[in-house]
Amino acid sequence: MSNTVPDIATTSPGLIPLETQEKLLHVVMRRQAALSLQVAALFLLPLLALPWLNQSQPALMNSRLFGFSLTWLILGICFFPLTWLLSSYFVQKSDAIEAECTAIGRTMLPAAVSTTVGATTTAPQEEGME
Amino acid sequence: MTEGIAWIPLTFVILIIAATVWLGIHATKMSKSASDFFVAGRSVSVFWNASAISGEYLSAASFMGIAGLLMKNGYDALWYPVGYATGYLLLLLFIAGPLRRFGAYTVPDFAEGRFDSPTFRKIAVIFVLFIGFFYTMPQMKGAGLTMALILNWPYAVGIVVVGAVITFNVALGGMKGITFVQAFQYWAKVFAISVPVFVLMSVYGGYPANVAANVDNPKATPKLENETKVAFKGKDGAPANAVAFASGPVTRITFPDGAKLDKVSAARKLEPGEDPLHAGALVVLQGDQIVATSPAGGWPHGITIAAGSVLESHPYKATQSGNPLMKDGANLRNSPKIEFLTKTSGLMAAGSAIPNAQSNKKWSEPFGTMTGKYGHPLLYTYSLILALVCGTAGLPHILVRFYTNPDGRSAKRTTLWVMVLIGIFYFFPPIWGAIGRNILPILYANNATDSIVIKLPMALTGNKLLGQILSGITSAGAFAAFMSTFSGLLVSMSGALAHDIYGKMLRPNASQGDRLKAFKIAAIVCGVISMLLGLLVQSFDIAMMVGWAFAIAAASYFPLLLLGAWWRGLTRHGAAAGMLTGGLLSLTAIVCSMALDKKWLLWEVSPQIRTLMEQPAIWGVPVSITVMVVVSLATAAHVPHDIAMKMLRLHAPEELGVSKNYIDH
Repeated sequence: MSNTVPDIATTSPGLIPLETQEKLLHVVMRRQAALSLQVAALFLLPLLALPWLNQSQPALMNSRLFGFSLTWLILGICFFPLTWLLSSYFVQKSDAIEAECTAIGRTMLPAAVSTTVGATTTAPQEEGME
Repeated sequence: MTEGIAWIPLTFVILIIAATVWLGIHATKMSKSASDFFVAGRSVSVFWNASAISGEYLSAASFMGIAGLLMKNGYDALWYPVGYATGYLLLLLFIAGPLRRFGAYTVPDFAEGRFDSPTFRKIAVIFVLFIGFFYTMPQMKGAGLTMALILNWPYAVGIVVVGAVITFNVALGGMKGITFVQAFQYWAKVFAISVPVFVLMSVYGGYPANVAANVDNPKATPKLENETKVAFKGKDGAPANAVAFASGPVTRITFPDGAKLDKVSAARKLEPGEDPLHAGALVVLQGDQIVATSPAGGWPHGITIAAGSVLESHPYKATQSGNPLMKDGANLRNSPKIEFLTKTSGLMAAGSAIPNAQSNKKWSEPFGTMTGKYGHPLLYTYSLILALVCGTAGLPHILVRFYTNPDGRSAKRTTLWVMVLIGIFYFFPPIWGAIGRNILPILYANNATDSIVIKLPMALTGNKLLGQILSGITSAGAFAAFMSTFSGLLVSMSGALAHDIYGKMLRPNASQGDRLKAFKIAAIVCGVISMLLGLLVQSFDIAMMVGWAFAIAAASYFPLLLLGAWWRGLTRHGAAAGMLTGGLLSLTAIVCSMALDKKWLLWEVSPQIRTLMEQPAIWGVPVSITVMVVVSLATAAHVPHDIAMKMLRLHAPEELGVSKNYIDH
C-alpha cells in the first residue's frame, strides 16, 4: 500500500503532452457540465417555483385534486417520480457522452497511456499549506 | 402512556438486534484485507450498494422524525422528505461520478489529492468528525427515546445498548460487514414503515382522506374524544415543557398530584399594542370551587397548584387599549400558555381542545407554524430547501459509500437507484403524520409527536394484539434506523481516525495489520464518545440536531466538492477559507438560535435575523462559495501545476486510463 499521490503529469511528462491534456479536458468536461446544468435546471425550476406559487396563487394551489390539495399532491407525491425520471435520463445521456469521449480521447492519446499510466507511482510529495 | 414493558415490541427489537449482529459476524468472514475494511473491496454490486446507501441514509430523523414533524407541522414538513430525497439528484449530477473516478477512500483523500496539501487533509478530517458527531447525537437520542417508550428503561440504557451493539459490529466487520447489514436494514425499514401503515389505512381511511379531513374543515382544531392521561415534561425538557391552549374551545386538565408551573403567559405572541394576557384566562378549580384566577399578564413567575386541582383555559377575544383587536377583518383571539417546572402527569377531560395543535388550515396549507414562526415563511422555506438539498451532497458518511463502486459509471447508476429506494421510503412517513393528527392528537399536548410511529399502532382499539405486533414492527424499524446510520457514521469517523490521522499523519509506514488494529481501536473510541454525547442531548429536538449537521455540511463540504470537481482555479487556500468560514458561521448561527430557544441567550433579535439564524443555508452556502472564489483568485499562483491532469482524473472515462486509484491495493 502506498501513501502518496501518484503524480502522473510530473513523473511521466512525456506521456500526455500538456496541450493534449487541455484539449481532452475541454472535450470531457464541457459536455458533462452542459448535461448536468440542463438536468439541474429542469429540477430546480419546479422546486423553487413551488413556494412562490404557494405565495402568489394560494387558491389555485389549494384546489382539490384526488382528495389532496394541488400543492400537497405536487410536493408530497409527484416530486419523487420527477427525480427518478430526471436521473435516469441523466444516467443514460451521461453514459452516451462518456462513450463518445472515450472514442475521441483514444484518437488524442498515445496508445501506451491506457496501459502504463495506472502503474506509475512516485516519491511522497510533501507540500504544506504555507 | 405505556406502563411497564411492552413485551411484543421488545421481542421485535431483540430480533432486529440479533439479526444485525449475526449478519455482521457472518459477513466478517468474507472481509479480509484493509481495503475490504475501509470500502468493501469495491466489489459490491450496484443494487446492494444502493440498498446499503439507502439503509445508511434513512436515520432516526427519517423514520421517527419526519412522521412526527409532519404530524406537528403538516404541509411545511413535507419539504424535509422531498429535500432529503432530492439532494441526491445534485449529488448525482455534479459529484458522484467525478469523486469516485478520482479514486480516494474519503473526502480528506480528495482534499489532499486535489490540492496537494496534507494540511488541508487535516482540516477536512476535522470536519468529518464534526459533522459525524453532530449527526450521531440525534441517532442516539432516538435510540434512548424508543427504549424509554417500549421498555420504560431509563434514557441512558437505550443509548448504551444500541451504541455497544453497533460499535462491536463495526469493530468486527468494518465496511464489508456493514454493507450487508445496511442493505438488510434498508429493506427492514421499508417493510416497517409501509406494512403497518397499510393496515392503519384500512381502519382509519386512506392518505387522501386523512389529508382531506383537514383541508375540508380549515377552521377546526383537534379535539379529545375520551379522557386521557398525559405526561408533561419539566423545565429541563424546554421548550417541550410548554402547553399552549387552543384559542377556540375550552381545555380542562386535572392534576391528581398537583403541578408546579414555571410561567403562565399568552399562547400567541402579542401583536404590537395588544393588551397583555387577559385576567381570568386561566382558572384553577378544586371540585367546582374556583381557587385562583390568573391576573392580567398571567403569572410570569409561575404558580404551584395543589393535588386534585383542575386547570381550565378561557380563550378570549384580544383587545388593544380595551378595544377589539382586528386583523384581516376578524377579531384576533388569544389564550394562555403554561410551562411546567417539573415533570407532571395530568388527566385531560373529554371534549377538550388539544393544546399545541394548530388549526386544520395552518396544518394543511403552506406557510403554517413551522416556516411562519418568525413571520418570514417564504425566506424560511427557501433557506430550508437549500440546506436540505446541498447538505445531502455534503454528508461524509454518504460520500464515502460512493467509493464502493467499481467505477464512475456505476457510481452514477448507484445514485439513481438510491433515489428510487429512498423516494419509495419517504412516501410513507407523511401518511403516518396525517393519520396521527386525526387519530392520536393527544401527542400534541406533551410535545411527543416524535413517537407517533410507535404509539399509533398501539392505539388500535379493535385488535390489541395486532396493534402490539404492528408497533413491534415499527419499533424494530426505528432501531434499524439508528443502528444503520450510526454504524455508517462510525465507519466514516473511525476511517478518518485510522486511515487519515493514524495511517497518513502519525505512522505513514504502518503495516496492514497495524492499520486494521488502529481501525478497531478508533471504532471503539468513537463509539464511546458518541454514547457520551448521546447522554448529553436528551432535551434537544431530533430534527433540530439533524439540521445542525445538514447546515454545516451544506456550507462546508458541498462547496468544496462542487468547486473542487468543476473549477480548476480553486486553490487550497480558497477551499479551506471558504469551508471554515461557511461551516463555522453556520454552526455559530444555529447554536445561538438554539440557545435563544432554550433561553440561555436573551438577545432581542429581529424576525428576519432570527429566521436566518435558524435556517442559515441561504447565506451560508453563498458565503462559503464566495470566499472560495475570492481567496482562490487572490492565491491563483497556488493552483496545482498539474491541475489539467487532476481534472482529467476527475472527469475522463476510466477507459482512457487517466483515472488512478488514490491508494493501491
